[in-house]
Amino acid sequence: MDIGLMCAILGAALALGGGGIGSSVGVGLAGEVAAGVVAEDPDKFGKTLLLQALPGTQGIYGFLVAFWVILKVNLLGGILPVSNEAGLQILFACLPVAINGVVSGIYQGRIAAAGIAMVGRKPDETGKGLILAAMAETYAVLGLLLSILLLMNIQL
Amino acid sequence: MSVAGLQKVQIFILQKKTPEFLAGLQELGVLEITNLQDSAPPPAAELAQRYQKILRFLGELFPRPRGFIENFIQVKPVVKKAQAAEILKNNSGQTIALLEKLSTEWRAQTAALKQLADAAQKQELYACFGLARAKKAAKLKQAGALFGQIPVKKLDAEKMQVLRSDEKTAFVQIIFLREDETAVRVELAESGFTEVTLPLQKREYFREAVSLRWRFNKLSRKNAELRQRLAKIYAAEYTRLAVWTEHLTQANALRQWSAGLAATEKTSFLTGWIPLAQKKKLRQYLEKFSGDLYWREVEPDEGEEPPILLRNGAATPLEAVTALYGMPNNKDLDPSPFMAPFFIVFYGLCLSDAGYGLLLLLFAVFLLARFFANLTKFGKKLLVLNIYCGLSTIVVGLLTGSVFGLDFNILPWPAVKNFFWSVKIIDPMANPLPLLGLSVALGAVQMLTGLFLRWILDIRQKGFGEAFLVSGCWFVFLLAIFGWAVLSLLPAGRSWSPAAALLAGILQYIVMGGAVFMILTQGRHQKSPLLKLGSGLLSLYRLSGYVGDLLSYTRLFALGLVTAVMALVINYLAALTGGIPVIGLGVMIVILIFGHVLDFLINMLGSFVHSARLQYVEYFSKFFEGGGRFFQPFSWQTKYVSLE
Repeated sequence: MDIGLMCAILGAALALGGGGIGSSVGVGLAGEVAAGVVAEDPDKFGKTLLLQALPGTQGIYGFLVAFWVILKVNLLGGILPVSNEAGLQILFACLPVAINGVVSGIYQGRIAAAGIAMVGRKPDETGKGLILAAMAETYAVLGLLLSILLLMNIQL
Repeated sequence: MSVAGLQKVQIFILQKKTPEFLAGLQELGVLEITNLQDSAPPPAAELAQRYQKILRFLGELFPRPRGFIENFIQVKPVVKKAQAAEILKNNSGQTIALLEKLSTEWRAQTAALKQLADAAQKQELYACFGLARAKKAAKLKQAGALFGQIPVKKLDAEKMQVLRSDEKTAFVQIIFLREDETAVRVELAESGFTEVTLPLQKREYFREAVSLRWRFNKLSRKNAELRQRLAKIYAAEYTRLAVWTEHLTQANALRQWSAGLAATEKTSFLTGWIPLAQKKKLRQYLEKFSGDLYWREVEPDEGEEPPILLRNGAATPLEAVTALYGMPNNKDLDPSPFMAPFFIVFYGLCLSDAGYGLLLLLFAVFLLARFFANLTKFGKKLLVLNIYCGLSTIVVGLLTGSVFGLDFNILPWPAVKNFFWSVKIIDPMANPLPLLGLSVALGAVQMLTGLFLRWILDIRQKGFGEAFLVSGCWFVFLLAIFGWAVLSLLPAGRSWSPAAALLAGILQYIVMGGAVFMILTQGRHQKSPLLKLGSGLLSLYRLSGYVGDLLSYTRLFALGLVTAVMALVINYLAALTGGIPVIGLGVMIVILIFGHVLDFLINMLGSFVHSARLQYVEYFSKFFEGGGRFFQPFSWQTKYVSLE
């Protein structure tokens, strides 16, 4: 069995899994609070939806990196030979988006949940809630950026 | 293009004229009245309440189907002002009286229907046991009889007589001796028995039930007719009722506000702010009341801050971004025009796909055209801003060769294909560094602009020398560093290389001189010379903050890449499914539409939020304080209709 390829696939799995965990927890946390606010006032659905969507991006970043790996080793066509070193490199390159995805997704979810509670009291301040939640996303974006830059420069 | 000037005015007016005067001011909508007791309308008077009650009743009875978009925009019927005036000429008292009568009738009917249904259900239950048995049981002396329901599982065939039973419940009769009654009841209670007390009435239970059902049906037919009648009136008269409700609510509010403004026995006093540009309009209006009022322009009290009204030309839509953060205070610059180019370009870089840019543009134009009268000022600004951003996204998308993530080679039209190829100047996926560099460079330009603005503000407030020490020196220092960095990255061996090298040399000395200057001056507030030097050295630490800010701009590149690559991936997945026999085409189309819509929506939100964040955190922190209060002119606030 080709160890390099296995490492590459593990990297893709971690990237998607990390982002997925962060986003699922984050979106879930925000959704619970959103349901409470909407129960009080159904007209606030649109505003809470915007805030709930924010922690969903980590999962997308993870998916993106996973797909990048898949395309890089041409997993869907004829698989390219991956040396053991290159495979490990790919695995490590996937870590920034995976780790940052988990943590920033969960915390962004908590900020979004607090923001949604704020919308419940002051619906005009939705924009501020969005910006506050976006602060946590910065680190997911940086993780994505690093993962992509690393992947781009790895030679199979 | 900045914060508009405001004049404070004081107005004294005869009390009997006040309601009329306020109504006119409300119509004019230019003056902010600061001593109005509560700017939210006070509770409605009795008549207005009657209207509100009927509208609420009808609204609950006939809920309007709501579109998804109404979660974001509150849609109210639009009424032209002339049309409203026409409506107010005719009294609507008869309609409201009729509706009140009908709604009372409707409520009574609904309550009666419920009673009939309950009674019928009871009689149907009694009918399971029969009136004859009930009468017989009542005559027993030594023994007693119980009737009731029991779960089939708990049936005890020796003690109970089953009269009727379905799958779960049995209807039973139990005969017992009076002396055993307590024991029997305890045993029954444990087995889940529910007693049914049969009333002794003249009519057989089932006959009574049939008769009740018949009355129920007759009434519910009448009820449906009434409902239809109400629906018809509601549809035909809604606008009229809504306009009247607004009018009555408003008239009552004006009466109460007027009373609250009373100053002496005969006069009212009000004070407020008027934008300089609107002063003429106000003066013309005040002249109509000449003889009944006295007014004057006054200076603000000590420490009194006028409210803030922004006035911009083409940059007006950016006021929405400023407003999200908070209004500038009276010493600030209005940041809207200064962030316009940055925000719009940043947004384009983040969304980065010409196809999505076009979608955004069309989406914003559609919403503006369709809901114009229902949009708040803020909503309109936001949508126009999205048009700008859509345009910039189209430009960025074309330059980076991203149009719905399409591979241009598969396009069947050579002219289109060649156009796309010819405008594409960079491929961020093959060569990421130029775009990454551009993101950071734009960040450097924005930060320097921010520092420069701070310098200008400091010159205004603190004088030239102090301003240079506080912020000017940082601007020059950072400008030199950035210039030096850019020049040292330029390729060597060109005709202008010696000139660039010379300039780089000069800048190098400025940077070094700047560092020494900082160390010497930035600790000037400290007392001991050692502390002066120490805080001077420490101040250079601010540089690391600036580097952090600069790196924050790399998100522009990353977010742009996300949109473009997601679009590519969606197309790739769709193409894979295209080969499936029979359903392939359908699956492909679903993936394409669903995928691109999702990518568009998520990244639209992300682009806005991140572009705004760069303004607020990295840009505003350099020069903007905020904390001002919105200018809120006294004007019409409607609940049921939008007046045009």
